[in-house]
Amino acid sequence: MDLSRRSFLCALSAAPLSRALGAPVRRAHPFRAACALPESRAGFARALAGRETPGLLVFAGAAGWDDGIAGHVHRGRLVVFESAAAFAEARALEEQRAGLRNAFGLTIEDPVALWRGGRPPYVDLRWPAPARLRDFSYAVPVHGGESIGRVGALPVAARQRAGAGALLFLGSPIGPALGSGDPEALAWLSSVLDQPPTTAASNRSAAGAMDRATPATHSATTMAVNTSIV
Amino acid sequence: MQKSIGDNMFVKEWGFDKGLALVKKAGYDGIELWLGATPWFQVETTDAAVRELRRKIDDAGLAVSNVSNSLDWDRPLSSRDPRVRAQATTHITRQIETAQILGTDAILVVAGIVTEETPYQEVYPRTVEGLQKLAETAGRARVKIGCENCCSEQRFLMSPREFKLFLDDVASPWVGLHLDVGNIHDTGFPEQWIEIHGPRITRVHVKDVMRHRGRCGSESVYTNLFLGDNNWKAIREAFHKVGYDGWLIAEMEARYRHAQDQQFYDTAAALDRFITGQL
Repeated sequence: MDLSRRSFLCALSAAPLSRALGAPVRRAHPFRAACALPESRAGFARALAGRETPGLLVFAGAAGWDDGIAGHVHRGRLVVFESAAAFAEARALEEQRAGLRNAFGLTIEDPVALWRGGRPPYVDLRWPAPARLRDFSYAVPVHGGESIGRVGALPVAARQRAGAGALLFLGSPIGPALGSGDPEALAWLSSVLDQPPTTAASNRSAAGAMDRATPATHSATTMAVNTSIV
Repeated sequence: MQKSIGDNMFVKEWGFDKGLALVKKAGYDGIELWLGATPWFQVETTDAAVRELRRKIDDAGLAVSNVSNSLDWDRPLSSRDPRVRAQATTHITRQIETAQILGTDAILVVAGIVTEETPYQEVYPRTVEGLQKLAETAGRARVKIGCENCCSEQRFLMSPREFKLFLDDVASPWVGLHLDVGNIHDTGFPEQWIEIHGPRITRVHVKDVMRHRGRCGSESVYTNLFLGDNNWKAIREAFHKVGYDGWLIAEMEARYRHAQDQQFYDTAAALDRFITGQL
């Protein structure tokens, strides 16, 4: 693997991304998606610490978009993109909306406040393993790709393949649940990591816009530290 | 012990000057200033204006017992939204700054608020982390952050031992307990909180509570001193045991409907009875 544990931890403390990632990733630097939920990033860091996560790129609590994401997916990475648009300026949502539409054919709506009008249900993730997680007050609905998670009837998580990889869009942050040690959140992330790249990337786009998956290469272990970029 | 009462008790029409004069006339030693609760003391209030408040307080022969805030309920340090947490940090930092200007060494915060939406397991670590950061500022200013036990309203840190473990986790000599002896309701006994926390008590809010009656709508469980169920003799003895000889700050929720200034006199007289042990 390209990334030592030391480098990994260094990256998590908001070091420049190029210190943590290998050369291919460095070419994508700088990432423009800032992190609006540091506790989400910390939650992913805690959950991933000590794990080998080849080909995984996580944008935890993202408050923007980076055009380099599409390239990483096409080259075979599984990119987990957790939107924190509800906790950022409106510009962040518009960036994500454009990026997801242009690069992955996904459509996102304005964040929905889940606690208006009574108690909402939990977030129900159903791929790769079912998990019921506590909501995080707001969710960004998503349409397109394969819906893999809902809050009630609201689709808030989707998987979309592109090239050799796939994008997992999470419209309701799960990093805080990872950080607090929620067993189902941890099990869900483990199940994602346990997926062979071909499985992680193999779904047919609902829009039919994406190519069929090809095996991803485990070229790097990565954890995007998008707080390094504002 | 010294007596104090909050400026949030002032009737709106009085303004600061008339309220301050009443506090002095009623026999208090000091005044608690509530950031965000009155027109004269907001986050935006300039240092110069705060210094002017202090001049008036000094001229009245009073002291500032502590600086509290009414903002934590809407902008809690435990919010899920980092922007709200930043607002909380801002107003608590301003409390610390104004405490220095006003010549007191204690502030009050309501540090974590559990709701259906924001669960306990999230509130705890966020609050610890937020206080650890603020403790650095407090330490530099030599101002203690007193976390109030609003047990029922916060739904957080319900027992004295739980509160102790929380303060252990924050692990700063600049963060302690602002004890409210009326807030414990039927979940415990204030004298036991006093014994457990002892030197960590920064200030004390006093009011009485009717523990047998739950809150019903706007009906309050709180009442004037000696009308409720608190065991004031036991509370006094516990203070004596742990050596607490600091400020007692009246925080009366139920207000007089008529002759509202009378509540200031009556409360001061009750505090005198408590302090002198005439119970």
